[in-house]
Amino acid sequence: MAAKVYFPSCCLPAQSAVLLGCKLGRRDSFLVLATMSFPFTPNRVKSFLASVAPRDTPPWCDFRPEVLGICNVSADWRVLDDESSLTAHSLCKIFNGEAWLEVELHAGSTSPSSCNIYRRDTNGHYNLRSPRTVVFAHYNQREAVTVRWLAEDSSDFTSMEEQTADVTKEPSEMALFFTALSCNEQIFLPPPCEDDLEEKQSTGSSVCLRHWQDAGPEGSIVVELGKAACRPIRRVGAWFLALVAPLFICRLWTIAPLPWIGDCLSTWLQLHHQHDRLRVVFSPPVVKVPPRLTPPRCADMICSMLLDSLLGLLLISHIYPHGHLEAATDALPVFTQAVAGHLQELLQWLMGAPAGLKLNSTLACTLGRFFLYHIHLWLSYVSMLVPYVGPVLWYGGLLATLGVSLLLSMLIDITSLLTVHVYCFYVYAARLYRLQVCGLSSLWRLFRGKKWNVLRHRVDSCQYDVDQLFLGTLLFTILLFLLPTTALFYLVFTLLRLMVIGGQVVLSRTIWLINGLPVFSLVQRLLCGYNLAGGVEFEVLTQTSKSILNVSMQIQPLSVWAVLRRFWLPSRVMVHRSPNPTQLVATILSGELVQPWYRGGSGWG
Amino acid sequence: MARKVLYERSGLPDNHVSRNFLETLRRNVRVRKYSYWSVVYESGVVTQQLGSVCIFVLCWWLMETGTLVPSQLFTSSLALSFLGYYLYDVIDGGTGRRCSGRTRLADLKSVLIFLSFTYGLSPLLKTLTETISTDTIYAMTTFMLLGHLLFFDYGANAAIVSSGLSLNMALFASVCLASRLAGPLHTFTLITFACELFALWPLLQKKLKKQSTGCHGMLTVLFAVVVVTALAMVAPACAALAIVLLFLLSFLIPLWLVKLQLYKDNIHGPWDEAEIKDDLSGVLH
Repeated sequence: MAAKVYFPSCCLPAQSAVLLGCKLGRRDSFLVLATMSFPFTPNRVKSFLASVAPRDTPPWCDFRPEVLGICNVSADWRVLDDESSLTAHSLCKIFNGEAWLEVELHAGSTSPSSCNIYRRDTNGHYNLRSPRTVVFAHYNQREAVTVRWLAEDSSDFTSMEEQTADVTKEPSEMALFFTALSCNEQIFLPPPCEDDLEEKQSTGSSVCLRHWQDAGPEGSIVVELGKAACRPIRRVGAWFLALVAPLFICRLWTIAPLPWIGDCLSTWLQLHHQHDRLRVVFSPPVVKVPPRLTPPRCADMICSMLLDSLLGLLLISHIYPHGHLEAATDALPVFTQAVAGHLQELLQWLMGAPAGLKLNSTLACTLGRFFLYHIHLWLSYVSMLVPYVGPVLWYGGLLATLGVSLLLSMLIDITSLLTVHVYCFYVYAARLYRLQVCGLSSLWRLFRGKKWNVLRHRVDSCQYDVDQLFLGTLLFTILLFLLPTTALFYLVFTLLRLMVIGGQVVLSRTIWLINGLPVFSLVQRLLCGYNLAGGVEFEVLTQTSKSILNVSMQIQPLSVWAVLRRFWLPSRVMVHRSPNPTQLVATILSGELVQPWYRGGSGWG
Repeated sequence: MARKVLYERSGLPDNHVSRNFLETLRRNVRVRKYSYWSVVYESGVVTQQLGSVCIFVLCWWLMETGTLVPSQLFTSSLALSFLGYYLYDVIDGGTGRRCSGRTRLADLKSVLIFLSFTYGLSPLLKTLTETISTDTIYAMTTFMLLGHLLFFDYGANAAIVSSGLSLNMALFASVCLASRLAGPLHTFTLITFACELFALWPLLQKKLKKQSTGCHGMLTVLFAVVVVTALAMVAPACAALAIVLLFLLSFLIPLWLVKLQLYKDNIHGPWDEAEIKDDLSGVLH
């Protein structure tokens, strides 16, 4: 098996140096974090290593940095031949690691000429153990440190902890690599402040490290300001939430019809959703009651909320000053009148001989009158509603400051309320149709002298009485000849209902899009793609000797689609999977009610 | 001789056929010899049913043309029904009623259901097929009445027979025809009549046939004569057709059947599939 050495390409030493890093898992893989040039005292090195040891190393692997080995640069090797070989041999005894690397490098070259691996046996002696090939992977330390490893096999840090129970499934080497880097990021941080620097110069200046240096938080004043403002903002938000919370967790909402009504109102669901999000964002970091999110996830959430509010504010600034709202309120009665007129025309058409179909005129007339009366009822209902629509729209529109999604969900609810008549028509027609179809199917069995055997779930032949047969046939004939009329009414009203549902589905899709879009991750992916690593690619550079393969490791960014899939935020007004067409047609034909498929479920699904 | 035991090795090849294999061949084991006149007598059932259908259609036609007033048909059919009901009990001395355990109250209930539902639904039935074309109705009626004749229980033990289906088809046809008539009363009368003719009459007919042979023959002749004369009054061509049809059904087809018996050649032998005897008590003990 080939051994692997991950070497930061930025710290190839110009003279002999000691390699600092850690082992990755049980394999022959070594991650070099930094090089340390001579001279140094072993005690200083040890104390330095202890000072940078990661505090929160995951339990399933040890990522504490140690001295991995030595890198001999051959130019000065010749000069200090005896001395350095002595140093190398004594060094491995001093640091007493499990394995010891010896890399030889020509001065000025980027690829090592040989690489030996010694392993410590039980007696404490180091034996040369040379694997067939050593893969020397040069990686870009700057990119690798800032990366979020998101390949298929990886998961967030918290869930990785949960995975420890599952011993059989060892994380992949790349996952180990990136976890080790992120655990040891303390090495790359600059000294915290000036005072410490002086102190460090006095105590640890003898340790001369070579690695990529983080610019540190001073790099951006905005970040600093943000960090300073974070705590008061969080406190104000938490205070505000505590003020609002009784509204949501009130006992009143558990009384019988209220939960059901709440589930029916998209606005309520959306309000709940926004509240949940705010709770997650503003909760203090220690509390784990609402599930704590990783910082990028939190940023996603905040950004999506900001976008939501921004869109809402834009909409308000467009609608309110230009009087669109008043125009809409004024247009509503005219619009409902027009719709009612169209519906009346449609019903008149159905009461005649629509499309030359031979309907039962008496039944068509009766049904038509029934539905016309409903339109009349609906008109009076709307005329009662109209005075309230204006204020509701005006004040409700202000909700858009909390997010355009709230406004859209309010629009869904208003549509539902204004199309009550369509819903009623549909339900009446569907019930009638279903009754007829069920009756026909069972009477058809009677017609053939059979019946449904409930115990055996099959159709059995049966001896009926004469009066049963007579009545059954009479009803069968009547239902059969009336079916086309009912079916036509049912079909027309189902189409109307589907139109309404279609409109609402479009709206709820939009809400779902606004709620779920992981804006932060998406922007991150678009601006600096290597931050979200979906994989790595190794490119062969040179093969210096038979046993050493030089490769350069490039980080492959995650595809945009994968970013969306992975970071999509859950939403209360969820778009359920829309029914497939055959299923929908089967439901419609059997006369069962078509449920609107945009209703919400539980929050954090 | 090879034993017919498949699970033992007999030492013979699989396709072995013994020399005396065909000795066990038997022919025409279950063929019945029909006498011509008995077949003619039995064919009377078909003649009578055909007659019933013809009478029903004739009554509808007479009502459609206005010759027959609904009240006339209703009273006469009701009188005949009472007569039939009386006969039904008298003919076997009431043993049938005692066996079935059916009370007169149940009969009365059935009659009430028939009459009230027909009367109540007749205005609805009247307008039921208004917009459907007359030709469609006629075609549907013809189809249903043919189905009625096909599935009727003539006393043969066959899979196709389904008395329920045949009654339902006749009732469907009667509703179709009745909905073409002039008024709700016409509809009511015709459906009541259909009910008596297709549901009640076969019950009496079966009992009559079981009780006396002469009565059945007389009834057949009576039906034939009534149908032919009635048709002759309405449509002579149809009457001629009916005569030919009845002659064919009563005389020629039985003759054909008897003649064809000669050509029957059923073979039975050891290759027949096993037959399970109904009585297993001897085998089990």
